[in-house]
Amino acid sequence: MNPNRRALLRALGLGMVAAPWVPLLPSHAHGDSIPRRLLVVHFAHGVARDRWSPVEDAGSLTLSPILAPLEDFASRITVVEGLDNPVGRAQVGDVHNIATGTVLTCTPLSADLGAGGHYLPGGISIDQRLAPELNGDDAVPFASVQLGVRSQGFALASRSVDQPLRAEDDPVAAHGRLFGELARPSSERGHRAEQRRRARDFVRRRLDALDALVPQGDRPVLHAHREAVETLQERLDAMPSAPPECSVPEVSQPIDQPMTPADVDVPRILRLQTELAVAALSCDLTRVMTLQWGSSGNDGLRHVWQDIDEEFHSLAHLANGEDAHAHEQLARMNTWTMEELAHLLGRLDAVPQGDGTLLDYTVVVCLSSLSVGHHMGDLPVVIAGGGLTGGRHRIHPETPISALWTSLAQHLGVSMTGFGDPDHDHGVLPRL
Amino acid sequence: MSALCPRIRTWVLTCGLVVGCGELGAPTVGDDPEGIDVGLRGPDPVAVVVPLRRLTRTQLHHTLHDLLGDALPPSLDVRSMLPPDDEHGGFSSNSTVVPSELTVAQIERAMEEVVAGIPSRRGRLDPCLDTAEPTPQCMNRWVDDLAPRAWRRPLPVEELEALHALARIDTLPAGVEQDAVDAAIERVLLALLLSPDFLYRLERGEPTTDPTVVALTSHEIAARLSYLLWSSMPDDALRIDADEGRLADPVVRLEHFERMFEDPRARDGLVDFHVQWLELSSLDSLDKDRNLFPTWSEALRPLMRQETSTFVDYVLRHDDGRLATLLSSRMTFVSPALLPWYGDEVAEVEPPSSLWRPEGTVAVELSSEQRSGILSRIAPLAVHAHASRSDPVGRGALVRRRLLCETLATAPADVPMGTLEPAQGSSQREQLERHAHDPACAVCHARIDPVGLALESYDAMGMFREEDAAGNPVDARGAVPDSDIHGPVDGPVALQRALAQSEQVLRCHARQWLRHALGRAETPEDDALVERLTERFVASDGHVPTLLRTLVGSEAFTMRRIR
Repeated sequence: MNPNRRALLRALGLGMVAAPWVPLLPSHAHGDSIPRRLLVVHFAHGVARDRWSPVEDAGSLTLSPILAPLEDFASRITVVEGLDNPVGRAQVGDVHNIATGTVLTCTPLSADLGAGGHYLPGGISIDQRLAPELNGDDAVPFASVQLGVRSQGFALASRSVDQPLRAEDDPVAAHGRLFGELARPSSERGHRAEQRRRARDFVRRRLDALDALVPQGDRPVLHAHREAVETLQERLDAMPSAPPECSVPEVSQPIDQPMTPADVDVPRILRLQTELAVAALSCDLTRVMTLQWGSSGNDGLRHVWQDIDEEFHSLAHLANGEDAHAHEQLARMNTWTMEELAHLLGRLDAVPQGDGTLLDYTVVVCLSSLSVGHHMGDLPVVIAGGGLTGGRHRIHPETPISALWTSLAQHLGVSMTGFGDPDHDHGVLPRL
Repeated sequence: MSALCPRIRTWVLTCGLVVGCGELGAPTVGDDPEGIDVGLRGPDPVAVVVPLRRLTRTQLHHTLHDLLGDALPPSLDVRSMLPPDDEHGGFSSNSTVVPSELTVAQIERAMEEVVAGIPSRRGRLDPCLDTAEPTPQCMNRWVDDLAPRAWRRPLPVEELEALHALARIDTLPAGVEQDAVDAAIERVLLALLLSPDFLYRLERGEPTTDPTVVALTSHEIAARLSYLLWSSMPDDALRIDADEGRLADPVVRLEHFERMFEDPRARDGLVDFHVQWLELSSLDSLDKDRNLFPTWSEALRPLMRQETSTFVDYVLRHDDGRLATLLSSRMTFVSPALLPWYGDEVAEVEPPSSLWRPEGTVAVELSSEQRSGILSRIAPLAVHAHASRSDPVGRGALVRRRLLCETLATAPADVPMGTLEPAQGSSQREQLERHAHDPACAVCHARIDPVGLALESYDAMGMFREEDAAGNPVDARGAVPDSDIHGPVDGPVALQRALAQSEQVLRCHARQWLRHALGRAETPEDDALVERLTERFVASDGHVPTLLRTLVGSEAFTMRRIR
């Protein structure tokens, strides 16, 4: 391990000291203009409703108990209430699948194949729709990145109909994928790259050869596989050869069962994924990201680190009703989520960018696809950064969430007039 | 195309006259002419759609260990390195979602990790590699031997030559630490293992007179056999017969079936099915409330898995092989660490000598008042429970889904639901009774709750109890409404006995195996095959080997309907 890696390991592993961030691809990659980014953060199972709403007061917010951890950003965030997922509500099937799989696509699932994240999306998700626009002609290594924490196959993002984009839940693997090539010494790197290139060339030739031989119905799978191999190889080729200027976080603590970590490991993994997300954005490895904090399903997670022994999912069902205990516990868990959001915003705000910070150039949308008692209406949404005016509390009763996506697209300079299922599309949000 | 028709006709003849299935408990070929001719009664052969499947995590795990032998550390768990599988019809099939870049990258990473451990053991790939400078002949010989096993078919010379090119020992640039021989071996292995020929269960087949149906090659049939029975790749015996093109012959297939079912690897195949059938995969992350269960520890997880595996293997390969026995036997084979969870009323017994079981396990017979069959074992009960309390809704839904083949909607979004800890004077039963008052709940819960409540005698760890955690006496009276189980069932043993005798459960079980075998849920187009398998399974009194033998002997097993 080189000294730089070791230092970063210390920084991350022992308390995550703030490290300076330097863009990997300084201005030459995107001319003089600083790129705009989109980061969607999804958390599971909704909020304790009566402890959520802030009060707007002269360009700032008086925060509610749950939102209190966002104090430092009270004048820079907007809380939007009332947004609805009419597409999801109209579909019959597994609520968790439908909510997660439709909130960013605004189209019904094409197939609901079984509880636990087994579904096919019905269309492109907003992050994917915006990715080519935000990347423009720049050579951005990753068209988009999806990271998760015990997301367990629930896909939030979707390339197109039937093409879910799941999150990488393993920070060690995510690190290898995002930064692995950058972190190798150059002699070793050339060799590894060559080994991979030869294996991938071979695989591509096999996929090509098989295309004519397999029954027609098998071809879409092989085509998708080929495209994936191609993309991986293009990225490897495009990786800058000089040692990068940007700081690459190191994640090398052994994580037991990264795909299904123990409850107690969830906060640590979440922080690592946050760190990787901020680094990937600051290094301009990608401009479009989704972060999935927790499984959208009933995975038995308990917030044991908050001394809560009941399952998050059960508590969320019982809260917002007569069960005061469950309600209290849900509010505590929501508050923890907002602490993590505040931490994320703080990390983005610590990266200098132009005459501001990375947060100023990143639209952050933090939401849950479920609200009270697994309902898909009145979704909790916080938006921040990206040059949006903050300190506001907006209520748009029963307005489809597609309106939020269209409005944000317009804010990011993409001319869209609607998004998703036209039957449930209501244009834009006024005065966002 | 015409070349194939005679073969099909011969097949019909052979099948009708000679081949059959064994009767209950007697796995022999040839004593029941009715057993295997699925689809031959109708005017058209039954060929069903089989999607293109990527190997599942479990299949890749077993396949890599079989392929690379002791060049891999025996304890290497490939499963945990791979992305989650996609399910269809409740079983892993990786046939529904086209591979994304992330999936492909994750597979690449897993294979790189598997291969990275090999250099120190490279002599175990082939003894001639165990030298600083293996000859080109040695490298090529190793490739020629490995490639047809990895790709489950013979390779034409140009494909072998492409691999030989990768196997050339090139001088590496200065500063590279890797050994040049290791680098060549790594290139070959990555190319083989990342190729679609390895990762997918390719079934190209050969044309038939029906343009929508292909007849599988013998090697493709061999893979269907080995993945159904072993969740792994074909062995040499299968490959030799496949090379001869003999596996289209049902007699030959059934001979292999008998042999393979006797082989220890059949345990892996059976366990793979049952873990998915009873939705036990979350066992690997199971956690319990340590305040309530101070002796709970993560070290129990593998022991729980072992118990289930040994029990399944025992019933299906060493006892009478019947579903009813799976649902009613009181034998079990447990580690002493698990024994306390089964209470005091267990009797140590002599295990069958042929049964393999993990070291240190004891064979016991469980209490006839408390236990009956696989549903009353610790693993399914603890998995289908919350951390601190039982989960009658989850357990009831499991029975309805997996034993009765029902599709259940999840609870409607706007209904408050769930129960928390039982309170004094308010058992879970009493809390669930609220479902009856709300028509929106009652429509499903009237089917689910009475089934789960009959299992209320087991706590969150699967321990038998007379009282719940709040001290309420357990009332485990239940029922299985809308089924062929009529009237009330009093308690878990009665419930499981009733399930063991239900024809509806039998019929469902045949479907579950078919879903697992096809990698998808059945459709009305499969009715003829479903019907034939089901009839045969019912007629055999629920003999699982007969069900599998029927499937393996069927013409559908050698055909693929394509789109």
